[in-house]
Amino acid sequence: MSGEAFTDAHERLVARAVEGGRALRQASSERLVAALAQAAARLADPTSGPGAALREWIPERAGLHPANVERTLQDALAVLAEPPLRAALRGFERAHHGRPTTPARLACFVLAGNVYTAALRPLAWALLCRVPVVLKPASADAGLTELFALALAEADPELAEAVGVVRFGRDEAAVLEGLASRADVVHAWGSDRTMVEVRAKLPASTAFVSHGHGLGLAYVPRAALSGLESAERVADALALDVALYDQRGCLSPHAVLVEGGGELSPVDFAALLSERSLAALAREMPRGPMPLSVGAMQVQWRGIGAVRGELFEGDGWGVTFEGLHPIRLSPGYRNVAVHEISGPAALAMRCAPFGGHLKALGIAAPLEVRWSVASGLPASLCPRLCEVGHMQRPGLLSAGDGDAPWAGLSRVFDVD
Amino acid sequence: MSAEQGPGGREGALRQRIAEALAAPLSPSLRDTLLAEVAAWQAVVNPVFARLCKARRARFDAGPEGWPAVPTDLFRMARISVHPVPVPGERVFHTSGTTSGVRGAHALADLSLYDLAAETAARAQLFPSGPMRLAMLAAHPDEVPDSSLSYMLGRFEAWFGVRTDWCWRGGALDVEALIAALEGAVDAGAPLALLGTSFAFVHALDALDGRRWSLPAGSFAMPTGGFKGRTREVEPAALHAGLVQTLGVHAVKGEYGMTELCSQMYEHGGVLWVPPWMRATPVDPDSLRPVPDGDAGLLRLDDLANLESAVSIQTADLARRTERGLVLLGRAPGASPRGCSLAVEEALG
Repeated sequence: MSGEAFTDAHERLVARAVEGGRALRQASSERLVAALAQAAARLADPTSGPGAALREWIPERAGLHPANVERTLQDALAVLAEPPLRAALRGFERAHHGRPTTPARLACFVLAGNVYTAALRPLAWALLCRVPVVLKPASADAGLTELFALALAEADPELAEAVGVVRFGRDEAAVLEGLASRADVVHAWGSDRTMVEVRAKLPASTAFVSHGHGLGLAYVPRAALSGLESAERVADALALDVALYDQRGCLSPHAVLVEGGGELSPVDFAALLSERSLAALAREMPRGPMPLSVGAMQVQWRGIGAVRGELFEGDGWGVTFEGLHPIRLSPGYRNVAVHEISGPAALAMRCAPFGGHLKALGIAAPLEVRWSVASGLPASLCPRLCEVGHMQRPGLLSAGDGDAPWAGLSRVFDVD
Repeated sequence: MSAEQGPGGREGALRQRIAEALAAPLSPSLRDTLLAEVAAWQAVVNPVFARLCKARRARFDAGPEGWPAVPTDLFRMARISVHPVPVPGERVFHTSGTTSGVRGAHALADLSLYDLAAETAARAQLFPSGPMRLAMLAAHPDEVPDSSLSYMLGRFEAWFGVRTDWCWRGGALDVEALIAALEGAVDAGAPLALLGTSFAFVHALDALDGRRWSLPAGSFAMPTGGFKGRTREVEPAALHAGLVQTLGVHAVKGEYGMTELCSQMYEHGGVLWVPPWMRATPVDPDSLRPVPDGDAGLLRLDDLANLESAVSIQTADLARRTERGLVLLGRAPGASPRGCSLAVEEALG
């Protein structure tokens, strides 16, 4: 569906989703969980119709190697299995402490960005919250959302009526305006510019949840480099965070902050990350084709890194060691900088300038250390803190941009 | 100053040999030999280039691809010079800036190679018939002493101008001066060269508001700089057409230069003329090796006249080698916008 105007076809899409909301609101939790899990299982199965179609289309359309697609697809679908879906519902209920909630009449999701699986988690949350949704997938989403909707229709045709998928260009403002004005809540993902544009089109009564520009950082405390074996595990995990989606997502780490004074120095860790871990992933899961525009940035970025400190590079990846220099944004496509820091206090100072744009902080340390790091972060920061190796794999309950994943989908009410 | 640097040292000897090479016919093999010699010397005396060479395991016996080119962004972050500390009296040219607001700097203690390269190339490509009337659509060098474009145009005035009108003053187009230059050329039947930034030409076309001239034969326009990141972007072909229609110039010869270089190239009919003392090579962003003919690559420039900074520069501009020659494809989308035109727009506020 396309065109510059908000057409009758768009109107019908909205009406059908709203109508589908009736069945959704009456559905039991078990029915919702089963439908979502069955749809995910269909896509996870490469021998199923939609599963095979996905694997045929996505690598070329998303610009990712098939091995990268398989890995990211399985990760994204794994959170839609029955146990995590039930756990998510329990988390949602606990968060409201038994207070009554009511679902929004209609949600509108506008996705933009480089991660082709980005629609799955929000779509699942809309259904778990019993909110019908019209969704515009990201241009990088090479058909996954449509195939998920098809798989959902196979699993539970009545519930699938509550999902409408529509594609339109960023210049088709009338379509966005038309959809958004009919929704109670709009979630938008993409650049800060997109956020401003979408927000400007919303009626005053429509809730807006913004997921703008973002990046990830990683922190390697001294204790994680207490021996070569430990350092190798950390490097391998970090390399995976860098390589998944070819470092094009807003959770991808751009820089790794390594605490000095460990058995392995930060510069040696940079060499390890490059020569062992990213090199291995380049063989197992090669980088996808890089646009020349990114190549132009990569050439400049690596050159500056080489002069600031050390450059370790290979066919399809690059690691710079930049000591105490300010953090630069990487061009992505498996280019990551390693910096040296003195400890958690320095980490907080290094992270602070990124504010709400810091969406993920991978930490090579156990949970109690991650909590300790979280408590030391400045008030402006609300990244998802996780173990390295899991930065690209947020669970269903993971917060985004400081909000619960169901933000705006469900409203609390009181009867006094 | 060590035995390496300065007029009496190795630098002076290299300068002399480069000057001789610029002034005489130069074969590609001799050019490449000299480039390697200069690069090897710079890798010793230029600390930034030395670090880059170490990181990229430079070799100087395997042709210019054996050593790295300095990315243009580095000029914003470090002093790229064979004189690690400023030399008294050196001239520092600054880039027009980027969205980050940090401007690159190119310091030159001795402008003799810059002058020789600029005069030789311009005489061959712009002024083969000798001096003529000039109208400058860029600030006078007295007004913007750190602009390499203004410096070059100031030198053009001395070398090639029989009469020169500076039509950009105080940060704005002086429309009356431009109209006077145009009408003076028409009345005298004397060809006029209009030289300036692309963005200034766009402002001039707007300001002339539909009026048209038919300049005498031999008149031409030389726009330089791009528009990326500017509030108003005009395709080069549209600008060229506008200049021909409005001014009645007989040729548009685009200049391709940058603050980080001491030499300039000129574009005719979409093909880039590269002076014999330069190499212009589209390269692959991963391998930094030349791309096959016909493929687009990032333009690497090797310039013998860049004796004091870095002989090899890696730009973010796209180019393709074709049967007709080297074709510029513009700035890679997403790369930091740059170019002299920015200074003009900044001046406009």
